[in-house]
Formats: sequence, C-alpha cells, structure tokens
Amino acid sequence: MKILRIAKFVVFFVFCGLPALADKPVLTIYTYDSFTSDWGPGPAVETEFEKICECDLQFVGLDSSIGILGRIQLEGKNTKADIALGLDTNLVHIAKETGYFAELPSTIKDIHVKNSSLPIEYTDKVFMPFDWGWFGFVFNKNILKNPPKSFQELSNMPDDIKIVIQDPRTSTPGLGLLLWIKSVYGDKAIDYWRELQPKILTVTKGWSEAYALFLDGEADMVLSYTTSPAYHLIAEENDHYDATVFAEGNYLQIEVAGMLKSTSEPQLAAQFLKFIASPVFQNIIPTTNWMYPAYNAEVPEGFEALAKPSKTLLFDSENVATNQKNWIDEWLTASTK
Amino acid sequence: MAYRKHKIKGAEKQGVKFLNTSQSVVLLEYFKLSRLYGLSFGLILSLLGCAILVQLLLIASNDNYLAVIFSSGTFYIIKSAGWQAFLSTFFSLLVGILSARALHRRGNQWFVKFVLSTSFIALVVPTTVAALGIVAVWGRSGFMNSIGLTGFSLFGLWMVILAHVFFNAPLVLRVAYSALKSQPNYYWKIASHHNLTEVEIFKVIEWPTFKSFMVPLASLIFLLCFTSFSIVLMLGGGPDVTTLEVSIYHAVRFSFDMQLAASLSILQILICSGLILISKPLNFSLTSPAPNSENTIIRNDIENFFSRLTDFFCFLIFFMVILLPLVALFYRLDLSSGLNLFGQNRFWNALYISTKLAFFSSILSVMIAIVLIHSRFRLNQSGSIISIQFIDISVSFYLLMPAIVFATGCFILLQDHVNLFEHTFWLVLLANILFSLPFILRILSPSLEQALSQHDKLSLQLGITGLKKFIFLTFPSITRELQLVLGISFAFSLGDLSVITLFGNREFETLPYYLYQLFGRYGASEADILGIFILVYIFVAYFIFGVILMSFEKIHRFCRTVVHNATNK
Repeated sequence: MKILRIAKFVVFFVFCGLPALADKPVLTIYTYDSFTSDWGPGPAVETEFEKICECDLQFVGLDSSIGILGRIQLEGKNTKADIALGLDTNLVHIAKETGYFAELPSTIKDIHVKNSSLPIEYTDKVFMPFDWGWFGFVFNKNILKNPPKSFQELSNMPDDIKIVIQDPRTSTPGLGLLLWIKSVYGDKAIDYWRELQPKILTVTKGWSEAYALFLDGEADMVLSYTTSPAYHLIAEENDHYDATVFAEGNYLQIEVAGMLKSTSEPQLAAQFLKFIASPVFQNIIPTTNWMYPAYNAEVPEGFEALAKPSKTLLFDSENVATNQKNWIDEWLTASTK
Repeated sequence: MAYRKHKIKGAEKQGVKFLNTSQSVVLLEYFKLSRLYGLSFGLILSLLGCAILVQLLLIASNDNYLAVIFSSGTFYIIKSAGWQAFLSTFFSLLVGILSARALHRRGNQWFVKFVLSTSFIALVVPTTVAALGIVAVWGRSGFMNSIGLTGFSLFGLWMVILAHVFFNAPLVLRVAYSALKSQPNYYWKIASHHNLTEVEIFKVIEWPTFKSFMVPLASLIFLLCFTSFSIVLMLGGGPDVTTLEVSIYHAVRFSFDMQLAASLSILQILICSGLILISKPLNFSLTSPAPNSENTIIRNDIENFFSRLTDFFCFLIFFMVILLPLVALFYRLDLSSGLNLFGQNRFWNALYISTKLAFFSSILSVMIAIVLIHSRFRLNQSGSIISIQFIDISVSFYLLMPAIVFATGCFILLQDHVNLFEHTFWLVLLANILFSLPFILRILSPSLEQALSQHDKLSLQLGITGLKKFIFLTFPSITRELQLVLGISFAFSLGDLSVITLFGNREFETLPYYLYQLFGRYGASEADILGIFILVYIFVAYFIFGVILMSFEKIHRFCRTVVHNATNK
C-alpha cells in the first residue's frame, strides 16, 4: 500500500511538476485558423516575439473569427487565453459587454493613437487595431470579364455566376458583408438579400473555407478583401485576380486584439500588445495576412496596384451591438425564404 | 462448432459432480450481484440523463421558451430539417428497395456477397470521410464534372441528401433483401407457375413484404436524417440547410445563447421521442442475412429485357451513390502534397488521442454491454420485468438525446463546478460509450442471451461460476459478435464528430476533428489522405480485433482439451 502511495505521488509529481519546472512563461493567444497557418503571420510573429520575450508564445487557431469570442464565453473565467486576436471593430462593443476583456495599459494607448495608419480615426480603451482592409469580392479577371461595379450590378449578373460568402453569425467578413449591405440599403437590405440569393453558391463558416472553394473553382467570386489580389500578385506572381470596388463604397474592417482580465501573464500580454504596434509585427502583416498594416509601416511593392475604394463605410460598434440580432434575423429570413 | 458442442455434451455427460448447498448459495449471491450491477448502471445512466434534462428545462424556462419554440426561426429550422429528412428518407428507401429487388432477382452468390459487404462498409464509414468523398464526386471540381457530366453543381441540400442516402440506402438494402429472402420459396414458384408479370409480383409478393417494415424503417431513417449533425455541418452550406442540432451548436458555440440552446434541445428531445415510438416495432439485425443457399429462386420476371435494363440501372445508381465517394477519394489523391500530413505533429497527436479514445470506448462499452445483458438475463429469470424495462429505458434514453444536446447539457450542468475543457477526454469518452451502447446491446444481446441460457445448467453442474464461467463458457461462443461490436464501436468512436466540435482545441483533437479542420482548406489533398487513413485504420482495427479474439478462442479450446484430457485420466 505504501509503495502504491509513493508511486501515486511520483506520478502526481511528474505530471503536475513538469509545467512548473519549465522555465518559460506561456502566452496563449486565441485567433482564427488562417492566422496560424503555415503561410499566415502566426509562425513569423511567434519567432520574432519569442526573440524578445523569454517566453513561449502559443497560438490557438479557432475555426472562425467570431468563434474566438464564442470560445472565450464558453470557457468563461477558466479560459486559457491571455489575448484574443482577430475580432474586428464591429464586435468590439459586444465583446466588451461580456466583461471578460481588460482595458489596455495606458502606455499602449498612446502608441496606438500616435502611430496609427488607419484610413479613419479610431481609438478604443479595450481593443487595439493590428491591421485593416476593405471588404471586396475577389474574382479571376480571365474568367469574369465584366466584374460588377455596384451592388445592383452584382445582383443583376446572370444566375450562373456564383459567389461564396461567409456566415455573419460565425465570421467577421460575413458580418462585414451584412453591415455593408445594411449601410448601403438600410431598411431595404432584406430585399437586396433576396435579390442576391440565387447567386450565392454557399455560405461558409469562415473565410478560409470560402476562399478555398473559390480557388478550387467552385465559385466565380468570393467575399474577401481588396488586398487579397496582392497575395496572388506577390506570392504567386499571378496578376489574374482583382477585387471589386463598388460605387456605393466599400465597408472597412479593422481587426483588433485585446487582453483578457483573467490572464495570468498581464505583463507578457501587455508586452505583446506593444509588439503589435512595432514595425517588426507590422511588417509581417502585409505579406502574410494580406491586409494593410495598422501602424506606420512600409507597404510592400504590389500593394499600390490594388484597387482603392472611393468611399469608406463603417458602423460604430454600439450600433452593431444593439442591432446585430435583428439584422442577422433579417438576413436569415431573406436567405431561407 | 460441432467439435465444441461435442466437447460440451461430453462434459455434460460426465458432469456428475453436483453442487453442494454452500456452492449454490454462493451462486445465488452471485446472480444477485450481477442483477445489481445492471440496475446500478441503469440508475447512473438515468440519473445523469435526468440531471441533464432538468438542467435544460431550468435554463430554458428562465426565458419565455415557448416564445422561442414557436418563433418563426425555430419553425424554419424544423421545416428545413423536416424537408431534408423527408427527401433523404424517400431517396434512401427508393435506392435501397429497388436495388434489393434487383439483387434478389439477379444476384448470384458471389454478387450478393459483394453487394452486402459493400453495404456493410457504408455502415461503418465515418461521416467526415463520407462527406469528403461526396464532395470529391459531386463537387463542382469533383469526379462527375471531370468526366464531362458538367452543368450541375450540387451544393447544400443535395449534397446533404446524397450523404444521407450513402448511409441509409445500404441499411434499407440489407433489411429489404433479407425480408425478400425470408419469403418462402413456393411464393416464387407459384408466381412463375401463374406467369405473373413484374407488376403483379410486386403487388402480390414484394409490396406486402416491404410494407411490414416500411413505416418503422422510414421513421428510423427520418430520425437519423432529422438529427444529422456532422454531415449538415460539413455539407450544409449556409442557413437554408440546417437541423436542430446544428442550430444548437451555433447557439452554444457562436452566439453563446444558452437559453436558445436549451429550448431547442428540449424540442429536439420531444421530436426524437415521437419518432422513436413510431420506429419501435422495427427489428432487424446488422449482421449479414444468411444466404439461402439450398436452391436459387426462380423468378419468371428475370428474362425480360426491360427488367434487365432497370436492374442494371438500379445497380449502377447504387454503386454510384455508395462506392463512388470512396473510390473518388483515391482517384483525386495527390500523394506529393498529401504525404505532408504524416510530417505534422498535429496528425500524430490526433492519432494518439483518437486511438486512446476509440480503444477505451470500444472496450468499456462492450464490457458494460455484457454486464447489462447479463443482468437483464438474470432479472428475466427472476421475473422482474419492471427492472428490465428500467435498464432498457435508461440505455435507450440517450437515443433521444443527440450528442450535441448531451454535450450542451453537460456543459450547462457542470460549468460552475468543473472546467470541462480540461476534461474533454472524459466527456468525449462518456459520450462515445453512451451513444454506442444501444447499438451494441442490439447486436450482442441475442447471441449472448442464448449462450447464457445454454451454459447455465452446465456451469451449475461443473461448479464454474463468475469470471471463470464467462471466460471458459460464454466468451468463446460469442467471439464473432464481439468482433463485430468491438469493430463497430471502435469505428464509431474513431469517426465521431459531435461533442468534439464544441470542446476540441489544438491540444485535444481527434482525427475526424482534424479532418474537419482540413476539410475547408485549399488543396485538400491532406484531408484526402487523412480520410483514407481513417478508413484503413478502422478496417485494420476490425481485423486486429478479429485476430485477437480468434487466438483467444484457440487458446480456450486448447486449454479445454487439456483440462478434458486431464479429467479423463
């Protein structure tokens, strides 16, 4: 019996003691899957940050961007996340209402106001931007000869032209399109969704699925960003892809990161948030996440060739928080008849 | 077999040693214990079920849950799921019954065996792998389009229906074929004697045969499609193809709306209960129907050109629906990039976790099933019908509660006490056991009960009781069924994509969960390889279970001969 007890103790010690013995503190960041993929910013960010932090940076790639918030709500106070990276400004108010997010340290606030290279003025106490871009429909110029120049042209296209969009309940681009159409059509948004319905091949959970369907040739257009063609241009040296710029304006997405109240590594989390605003992080973003950097960093060659919308649309996040449910219900009604 | 029977008979003849009183008291005590085991399992299962149910009701009734249940959104979900399930059921029955007819009319021994084993494969293929295969065949850049059958693009609803037909048509085929096979031969003789036409044969013989199982089978398939989760999640494509389970998953995972989730869960349980009551009379076995080898049936509608043509088309459609998705996975395989999969830690991690889960869940659930059947048998002997029904209900209760509802319920129940994300392994293991238990009981109980009743007298005479009795008498006579149930529950656990979608994360991934993550990626060759790997793994595991069990059986035989010879001397 005694031996058993000792054995138990040894097992307990080995299993519970190991993490304690490891010298480096762990910083866990929840993000969406494409951020952590091999071609995404994840690996480079991890290497660069670990050079300066004496820590172990762990990205947890969740299946979609809104899934990050859902996951944190599910896990509640027990969440392992120290930082959530990949929500956008539309969700900021909803995220704050959960009460799980801590205010940004004051030192960071200054940096992110001073050095901002966003197309609009944006500040928030809890979340800081890390990149931005305009939503746009991406297409192959060789296949789609006459790309639509407005929402009306988009819905007037022949019915065999198919587009893939993302679900506004699960993915920030999906929510972006919902808000884009809402900001253009207002109360008539539901009618527009009905008109668009025959063109929609499918609604995916997250951005990467939708983009994969597009690249696999399942669809002619995909809801993505005006910066996505830069990937094909720079990484693949293929200039066949382009993104739509609409006469009504394009909706803006500012992707943000925030730290959790429950974090056990507040110092490290703050250090990482500061790192986000640094040139090192910002230089990784354009050619890995294929978005514009949020702080003054150089934009690589090729980005200047991208289409630029004439008008920028954005709702404020309180407005989104109050209406999100109704607007999503409206979309559900329109897309389910 | 004959050899074994002979041995047992021999032992019976010589089994002169009668029990003394103390031994029989021990035996009675043992029986009492074995009754208790079953009852306590039943009690635990039903307590857990009730706790979850009560918790769901509490959460749901916080809000005005009637308003949620009768809202247009919920109505739409039910309408959408119902329509999808109706179409899936219709096509499954159509394809299954037509090909069963064709098989019955046309099939020689070799072909029948081939079709039946194909249909068995479809029953154990994980949903994730099937979804992958179906996209590989019917997707816009899939097999069908690459051979020139372009012009249609199946997405959403039709993909889901195809997947459901893939799983259910084989089931229909097996049930319908064995029903046709069970009709007495003279039916066909009389039919050919009277020169009945195909239509008349269908009216007089076949339709009445099918009619007996039609309603329960249809309602079972309807239930399976109505509660479908992973297929709809992977192939559904948007809000217009959904089920209650997928909506519950959405409510929990993305909007964190527990009241909505709980209300929908209760609705789901109510609908399932109704459907299960309708499908209750269905009694079929998953094991292959015994080939009626004596004489091949002569049907006079066999030589007809028209019937040849229709039969050909039936087989063609059956194979297109059932085999093509599996073949297409190999067809579009791109080894050069696909093999990267094996260089990834995530894969090995998922393989380890999946193997651990599948191994423990198959062993544990079969062990629990054996204990339960044993207790039921003893309870039956002592005539306590109520207790038997209690055990039955507490096991089949989990048929009403789909895995997502179960996981949601557990989460709500335990969220203030336990961090479920740190115990995902146990939760998934528990779910796998609970959900495979009813099927295992169904397959295992006839042969195990038969073995128990056969060996009772013998064991009393020989004074072999308890574990010894099980190992030496019962076990060897159910090895075949054990292989089947172990294989099925292993496959089930290895392919399950339900609870894990709520609780899975990078540290805790199973193979199907990993496949689900890879599914949406561009250039899905890694997903293809993983799909094939899971398939091969399941069959290898089935084979290994077989080998282990057979070698056990051999050792037993050997031991028994040794013992037998020793007692003879």
